[in-house]
Amino acid sequence: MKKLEVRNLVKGFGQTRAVDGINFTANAGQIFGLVGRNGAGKTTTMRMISDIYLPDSGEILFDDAKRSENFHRQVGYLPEERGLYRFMSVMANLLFLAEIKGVPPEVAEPKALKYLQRFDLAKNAGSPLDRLSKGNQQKVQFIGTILHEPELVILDEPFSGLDPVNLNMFKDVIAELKQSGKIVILSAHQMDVAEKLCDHVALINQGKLLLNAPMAEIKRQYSQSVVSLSAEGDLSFIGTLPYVTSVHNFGQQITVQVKTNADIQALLRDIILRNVELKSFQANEMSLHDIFVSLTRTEEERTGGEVPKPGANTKNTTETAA
Amino acid sequence: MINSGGSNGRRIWPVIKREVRVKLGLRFIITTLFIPLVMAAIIGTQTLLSNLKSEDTSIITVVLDNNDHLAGLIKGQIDELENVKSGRFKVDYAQVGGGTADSYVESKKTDLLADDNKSIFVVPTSAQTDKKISLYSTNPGNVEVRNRIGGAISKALNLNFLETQQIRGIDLTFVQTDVAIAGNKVSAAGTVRESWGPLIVGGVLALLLNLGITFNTMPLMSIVTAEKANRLYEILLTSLKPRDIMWGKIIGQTVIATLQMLIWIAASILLLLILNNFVGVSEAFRMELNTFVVLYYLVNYIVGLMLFLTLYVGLSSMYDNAGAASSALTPLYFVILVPMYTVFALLSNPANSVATVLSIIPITSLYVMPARMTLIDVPFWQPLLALALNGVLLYYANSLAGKIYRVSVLATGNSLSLRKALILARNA
Repeated sequence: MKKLEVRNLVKGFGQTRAVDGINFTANAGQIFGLVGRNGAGKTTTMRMISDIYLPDSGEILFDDAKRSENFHRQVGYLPEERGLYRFMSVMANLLFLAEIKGVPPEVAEPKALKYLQRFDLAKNAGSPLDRLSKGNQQKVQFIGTILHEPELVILDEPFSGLDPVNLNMFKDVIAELKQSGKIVILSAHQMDVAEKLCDHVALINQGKLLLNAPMAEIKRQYSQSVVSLSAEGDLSFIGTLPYVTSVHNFGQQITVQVKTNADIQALLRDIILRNVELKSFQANEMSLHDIFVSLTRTEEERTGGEVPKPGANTKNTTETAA
Repeated sequence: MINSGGSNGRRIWPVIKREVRVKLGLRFIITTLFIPLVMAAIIGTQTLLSNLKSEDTSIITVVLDNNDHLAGLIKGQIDELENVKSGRFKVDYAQVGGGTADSYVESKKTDLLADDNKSIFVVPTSAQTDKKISLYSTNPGNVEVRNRIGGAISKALNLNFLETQQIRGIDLTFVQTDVAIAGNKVSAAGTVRESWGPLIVGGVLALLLNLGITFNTMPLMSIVTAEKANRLYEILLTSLKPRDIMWGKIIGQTVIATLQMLIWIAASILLLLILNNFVGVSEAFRMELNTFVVLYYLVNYIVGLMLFLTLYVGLSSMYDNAGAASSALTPLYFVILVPMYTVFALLSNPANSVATVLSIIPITSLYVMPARMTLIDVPFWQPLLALALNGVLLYYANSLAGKIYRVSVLATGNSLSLRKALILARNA
């Protein structure tokens, strides 16, 4: 089974350490999610894996060996900032992308046509790319990323700017890539999509790896003694309850961390006693989005600009999602 | 910073193919036809304007000292002028006392200011020995008046001088005709009558190289900046090394430019053959080129073009818009333009030491050597040395441009300065 191993990867730009000692392994038949805030180091990591940047130190192993000359043919990379030859036709763009990956046009053309049909772009095959909408150009670029059937597919923000229908189309193809045994590494700001798609998640913050675990394990670990609820009425009392350790207000939903699982019942009871109209109450459940926000918010963001003194009790602070 | 690696022919090939395919379109056909037409129009207009004769009548006064004999000689020569006979020159004469010509001119100043076609020629007594005369007009640059009247006065002064030397009844036309030299070019292959042909060929070859460089560097610069702005490089760099992309572009553009140049040369040869068959080309414009010169020119053209394309690709990669790149690379344009004018060093003597040195040192040799080879037999080692030196320069220019290109193509934000790009390139 093919795998991609990233070991102690370091990359700096001037005084900034964009990637600082990252380790992870992505396996074939797995969708590996790289999540993190803007500027966390996701794109730099992906560029190093794609062999666009050379790491300052560390190594990247593909199939248990250092990447060979042939590696370029086995990787498909969709960058965050899309770019193709605007005045060339859709098909000419796709055939060129396939050819630089070593696939001759006569082999690539029928495959390209199939993908274009699937993405409802067959009628545009001969049109200059410039005439297509941004979303359709993105679909062409996505086809160009996977047309040469790479073993490793790296997708940097593949869903940004897509409407729900096209987003589902992309999700389906990505799921198929996983089923056919490819290694898929993707970064996404759409946490709900990442949560549903990814088997494994690595959370990068300021160039360092904060989390690196299977999705199920992350959810289990971070959802313990957590309640996600939505209600109408004044919930400000929750932060004053003695068994509550933190409250995250995400607008529509509030996530409450209690000391033990037994405190969940106490929380439900206290809410009902205060005549608050409860709309949903989920115990031991925390979305990837909430986990991401709670882990990556800086101390300053947590305290609304007032950095607490060392040792100060931050319990019972009601927070607002960014 | 960015993975460089070595070039790979198999990977470059699709890039070359794409570059050639994209450029071999309607635009190629239009520019191939359009550029010679524009050049012909420019040269034609220039020739037409310089030969355009004014239909305005010129009123000329010749002011002479009181010397009836000289006045008669001058009048006689001026009356023989076609312009005078046709009435386009209206000439009158004034004889003034010694030293009063200046006050005469001053008195006519209002007339001169009122009409740009009025001129006064003052022929003082001293002109009989020093041949110095004066012209007064609001338009002293009127070449036709100056040359025709001046020429007639000169002839009259010559006649006057010969008469004072007791030499009479001679054919002045013979005296005033320069010796005609029939030049014969002696070479190992034989001796042939000199013609203007090689000089024209030399100039045209220099011009073709200049056109090739000018018309191909600018579009390539635009492509590089546009691809950088479009963020295309991130896609390309997952499959290709920066040097593959750069060389693919340079080779593709060189193929197009060479093809265009060959089309122009073939069309010129065809035109000459047609002219020769139907009209007949004068012996004075006979053109002969040997195979070595043709092959040398072709290789020289390719090397020269690649040299400048390399520099343009490397340096323009620091910018993500064509306007900024164009402004920043203006000095490089002078490096293209100025050497072309060194071809003029050949006009006085193609074998002089200045011409020899210019035909060997890199960059100027791109223009001077092919032109010099069309005029004289150049020792075999000189073109080969010139080519080798340009080849060495191309190698180092490519190395430098490759490093700059490598660090620049993915740089975002403010454009890199050349200094910063060089520092990054050195550390890359």
